[in-house]
Amino acid sequence: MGFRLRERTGPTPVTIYSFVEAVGFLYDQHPRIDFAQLASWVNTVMGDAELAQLLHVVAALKASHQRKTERFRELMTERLLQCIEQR
Amino acid sequence: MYGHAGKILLIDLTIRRCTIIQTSAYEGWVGGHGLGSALFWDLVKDKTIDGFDPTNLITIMTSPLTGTLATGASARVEVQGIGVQSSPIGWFTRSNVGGRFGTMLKYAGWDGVAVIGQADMPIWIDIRNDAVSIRTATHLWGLDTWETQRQIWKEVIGTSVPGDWFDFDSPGIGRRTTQLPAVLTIGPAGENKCRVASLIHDAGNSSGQGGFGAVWGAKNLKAISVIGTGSVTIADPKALMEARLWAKKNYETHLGKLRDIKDPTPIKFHFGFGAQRVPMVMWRRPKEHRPQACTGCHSGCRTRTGTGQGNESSCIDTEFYSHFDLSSNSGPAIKALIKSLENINQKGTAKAVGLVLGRQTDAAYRTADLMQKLGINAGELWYGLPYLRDLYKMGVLGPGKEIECDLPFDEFGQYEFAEKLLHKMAYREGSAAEIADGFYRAARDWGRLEEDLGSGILRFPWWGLPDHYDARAQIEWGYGSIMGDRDINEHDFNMLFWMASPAIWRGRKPLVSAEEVARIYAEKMEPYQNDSLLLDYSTENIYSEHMAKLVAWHRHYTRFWKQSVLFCDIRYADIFNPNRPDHRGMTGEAEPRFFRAVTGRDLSFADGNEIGRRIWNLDNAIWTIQGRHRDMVYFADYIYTQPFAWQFSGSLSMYYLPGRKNGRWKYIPMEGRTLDKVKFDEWKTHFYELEGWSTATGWPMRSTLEQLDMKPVADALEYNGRIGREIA
Repeated sequence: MGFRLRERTGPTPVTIYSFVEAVGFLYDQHPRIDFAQLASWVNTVMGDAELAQLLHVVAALKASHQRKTERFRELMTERLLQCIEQR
Repeated sequence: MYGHAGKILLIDLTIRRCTIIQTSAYEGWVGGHGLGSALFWDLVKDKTIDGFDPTNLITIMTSPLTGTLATGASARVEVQGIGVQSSPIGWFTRSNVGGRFGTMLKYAGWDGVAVIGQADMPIWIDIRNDAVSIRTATHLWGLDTWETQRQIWKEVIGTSVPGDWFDFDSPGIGRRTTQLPAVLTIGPAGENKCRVASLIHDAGNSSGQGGFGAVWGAKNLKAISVIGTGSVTIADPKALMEARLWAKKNYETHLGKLRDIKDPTPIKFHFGFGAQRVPMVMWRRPKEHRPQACTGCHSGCRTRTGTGQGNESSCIDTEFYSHFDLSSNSGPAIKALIKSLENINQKGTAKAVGLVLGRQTDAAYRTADLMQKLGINAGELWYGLPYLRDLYKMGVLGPGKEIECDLPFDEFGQYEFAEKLLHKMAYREGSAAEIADGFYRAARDWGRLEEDLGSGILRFPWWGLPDHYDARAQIEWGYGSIMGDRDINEHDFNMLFWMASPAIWRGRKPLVSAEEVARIYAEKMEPYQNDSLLLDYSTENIYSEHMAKLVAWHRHYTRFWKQSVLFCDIRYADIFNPNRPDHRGMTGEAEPRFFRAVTGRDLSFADGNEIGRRIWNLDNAIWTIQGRHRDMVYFADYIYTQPFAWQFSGSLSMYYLPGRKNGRWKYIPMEGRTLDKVKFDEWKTHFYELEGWSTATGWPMRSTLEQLDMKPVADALEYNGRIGREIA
């Protein structure tokens, strides 16, 4: 679960049910999500150990939330593209 | 008092009689909410009635500032009565709507309209200056809110072309205008007494909370139309214009100066008078659009669009479906894009795909339009729709499931899904039609209420009503809501979060320190001014007397300045203002300045807050008679058991507020916090003591009411056996 943030509505919880939804969520204006949990979800639910390992590395970086969001977005988008190309 | 039209229209639908009440008889209550509460107190003898009872009174009240150029305070009306949405009791509650209705009411010579009784057939009320007619609405019954308004416009202006001069038959001053009547109406949801039905005016101005649309439906009241050609007499027009120019010059955002503001946070998050972010829509704006404002307002927080879709919807209206629209329409677009991006490098591809992932169709606009036309409250859908989807994903709800539901979830995010959902609600169509009375009641009917409030998938934390800013983090919001009757929906303290948190997300330093922002806020909080501990959101402080003072101040300030004088929540309070070198907003000075210019009455900021306290006490007296007791004032279970944003525990935080840690002010992360049920109960004792209410029951005490010049209210509570008493 992540949170979408808007001035008038505050933090709205967003339940994520698929990889596409997770990537889409990261493109929101202010997506807030726990990176370690997302990396674990990619590993255990999506079964993508390779990507999860990379995401865990990013999650552990000493960087701002914003920077990590951008890096997660890039990596997960790349994987999504690969998945679509493989089909 | 200057600013008042001088009279209030009381209509008894049962006997079809109109009565004039002199506003001067209620002058001490000033306007808006104060007037509404006082009229309700006097005119509804049995206050324990259900909201659908014919003797329920619905008031629609303006303020002395309505229809003037008091900016951000010129157009709203306060709607009150016993609602049908909250649980376990339909509280005496409030809502609020902008647009043109309030100003037109004033120009027609009325400070408000109060409706009681029940018509024996569908009717609409036709107000043309002083002339009031109760007309048959059988031909309007069944029409949506937009069709209804168009039909009424046609009937009032006759064969004239909209926008041209026309005459209407009225004995009042002036009978010619170019304006269309302002109409407040219900749609099919209200006619079918759905407890989440709203009142709609023009395209998207909505009075949603409380389910007043359903109450109108029960009264057979389809619409109130008003057209006026008068004006508002102002005590000091020059002072009013000077106040307006002073506010705009000193506190508004000036686009040319944006670069000068050394604010590392995106200032579009700014709340208050200078808020930059208009229009206030949360979907992707259509290519062709322009801001649209309520009458007399300097700001345009709504939109008119080139396509005509999504006109005037704002805030939650534009939020609740747009995200699902975005995500459901991204997948196919990616596939199409991949084929055309083979020669672009990886980084470019990622960027391009990112844009496509944000693709939004017109489903969100059309859904919002349909919601306004059917007259359904967006707030209910905002948290209800994700709940419905979660139940579907859990395998609990759907065709052949434990909860039979025929909604096409494979079309979730498409307009077709939304259309079926909204029709199900408005017309009570097909299976799972329980949601027509709100998702809280539906969960109860499905036998899931306890489980889903416990887990938090049903995020309805107070009085069976949907969440907003979370009670475990934004304390004054949660406490204010549970001590009152509804989601307060007052954003006066949200800048504490938005000023600091985005900067921290980016690894930057907030514009001002936690200690400084607490000081700036505390300066404004008469009569508790300069006590920064009111703004300490640390867990150690949230059950303290300081937090009781913060909540009490907020209740009193908003009851008067925002809900009775009707300064709009979008622009007030203006406490922290990043446009100013000292970051001090105009609240405290602006409100009485505008008030004085219009009314000629020299009322200080603290005087206003004290009138707010009086109104708040009258409201609590009404709730007390309705059955309120301190033992029933508690949040849904998940607030006490499920940590706020638990997903962030031990990680980077999302939600920062000022507070003290080891004696030092910091921006403290709110993640992982639950409220302690026992300590919250102890906090209620602090609050009741501060308000002069019984700590045993939460009922107002005679001494408090008499000190507020409300002896008759104390007598009535005594008569009902519900006067607050000191614990011996």
